[in-house]
Amino acid sequence: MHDQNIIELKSLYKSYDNGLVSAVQGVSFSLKKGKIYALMGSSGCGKSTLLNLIGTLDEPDSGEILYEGKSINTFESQTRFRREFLGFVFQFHHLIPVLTLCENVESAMLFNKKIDSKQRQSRAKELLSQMGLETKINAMATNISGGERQRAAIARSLANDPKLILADEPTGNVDTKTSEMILQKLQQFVQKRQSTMLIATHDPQVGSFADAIIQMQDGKIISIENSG
Amino acid sequence: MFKICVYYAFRNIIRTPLRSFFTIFSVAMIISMYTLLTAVANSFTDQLTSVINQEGVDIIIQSKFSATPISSSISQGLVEEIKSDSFVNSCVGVILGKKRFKDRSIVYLFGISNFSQISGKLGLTLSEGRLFENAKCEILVAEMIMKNKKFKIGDTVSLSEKEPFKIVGTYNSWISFFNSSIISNLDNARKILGKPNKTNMLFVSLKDPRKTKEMIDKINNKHDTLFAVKSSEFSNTLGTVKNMFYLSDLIAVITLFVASAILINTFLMAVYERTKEIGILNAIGWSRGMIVYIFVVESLFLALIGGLLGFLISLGMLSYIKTAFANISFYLPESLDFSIFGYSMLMCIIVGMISAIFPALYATKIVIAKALKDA
Repeated sequence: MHDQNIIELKSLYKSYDNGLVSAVQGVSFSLKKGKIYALMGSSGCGKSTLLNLIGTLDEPDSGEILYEGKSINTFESQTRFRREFLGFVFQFHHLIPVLTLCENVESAMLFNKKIDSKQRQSRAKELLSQMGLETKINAMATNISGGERQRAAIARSLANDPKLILADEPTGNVDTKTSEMILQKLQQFVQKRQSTMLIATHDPQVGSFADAIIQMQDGKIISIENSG
Repeated sequence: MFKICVYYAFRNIIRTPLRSFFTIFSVAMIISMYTLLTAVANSFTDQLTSVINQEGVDIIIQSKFSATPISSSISQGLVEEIKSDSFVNSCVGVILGKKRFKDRSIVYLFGISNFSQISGKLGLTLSEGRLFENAKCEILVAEMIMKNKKFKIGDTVSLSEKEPFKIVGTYNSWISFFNSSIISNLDNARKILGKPNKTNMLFVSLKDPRKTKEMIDKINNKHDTLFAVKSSEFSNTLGTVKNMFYLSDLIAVITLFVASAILINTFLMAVYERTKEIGILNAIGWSRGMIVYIFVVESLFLALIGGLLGFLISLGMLSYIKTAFANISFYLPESLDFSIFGYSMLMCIIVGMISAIFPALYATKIVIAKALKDA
């Protein structure tokens, strides 16, 4: 069973303000391949911090993160690790405002040596079409609605066929209909590619899409339950 | 990949149009000043050096401690003494000074004791008319002045209070200084300038050029008031030339600093404003080098557009100054040298790279999570 783990966390700690704020306290758990996990808890419980640590956007004070059994610190470059294995979906779309949607999605594939420039463009268009944005491919990120931006951001996060998708409140700023669409698309991707997804949320609707729900409180994991 | 980076850089320039405009404008102004001043400095020194470093002239003599040829003064007695030296093959005296026409415009008057002997060396070619006769009040006028003043051969001009001078010929020269001058024989020039028996400079040819050093030592030791130097080294001894070289270097350094300061300021602001974007790019797998590259491309865009614009402005300014201030036009080059354009662009590239690299490197050191959260 151990080899089915894509991510394994071992006693992770992270604090801010010289230790005054303990965001993550001794968190240990693992994520299995092909599953969707919902990381739930109230605001400020440490969900986003945990996601940032797994995604190498921040460094833990102590503890270890293993990717497919290998410590992520042993990877040649964390930038490369993010590029090759991870897909990020942020609460706020975080698109580059001066690029078109197509260029935004392409920007995630620029350093992927397996995809040449023509494939890159066609893949970007294909992903945007899957997100229902086929008519907005050449629109600037600033000229579309919030829901469309979030869908474009999801298209970008899936561009390199990531094995692990980290989503921080992906439906936090969209309406119910768009929220459902986003979750369905992400679910389809995970099932098709046998990827893993960890969604930080406090939206119960998201929990219903997950295979397991990880409950977090005051920087600690209090329960992990299989849903359904 | 390059395409998206260029798009990104270009659109970032458009994103803050006013700031980009003022950055480009500032760089353009600095580069135009640099180009113009360097061109003038180079032109002036080149012309002076060309006049002086002529083949066939072994020694140049002027009075000691005179910063420019115009301020030099050699008495006729000393001229005669040097002429009669056994080493000397020929000795041509020249006098140089400013004179005003009736309309108050300034012209340079160049008096030569032997026009035929030195004209070739100074690049002077008679284009129309004939040479002046020494015994008469006759002058040669540069073609450019003839055209500007609408003079014709045979016209007379009033250069001295006593008698008018007749234009008997026109000339041109590849040295633009002479294109703003009139030429007469030495005695007439002395009369016009009110400096009887004075000579500014002596161009000396020796019978045996190998004895140049011996002759220089002889003159310098014997005459306390004279300063003799090898013709090829003369331009370096002129305070004006030295100052021009210093000025040229100083302008280059100041240009580099000011342009860098402007661009660094622009990019510090850009980096501060785009902290989130830098975090996003980092998060989706862009390397530090690639992010720096984006900023460098953007900076190079600004610097090169500014540089190109600056060069064009300097061309326009040069043309305007030549027309509006004809009396100083001899300092100005006929056209801008492409090497100056090359230096300006090289300077822009250096400035552009330096200015973007440091702010961008600083920006990529931030913790990504913090960048995304704070922005």
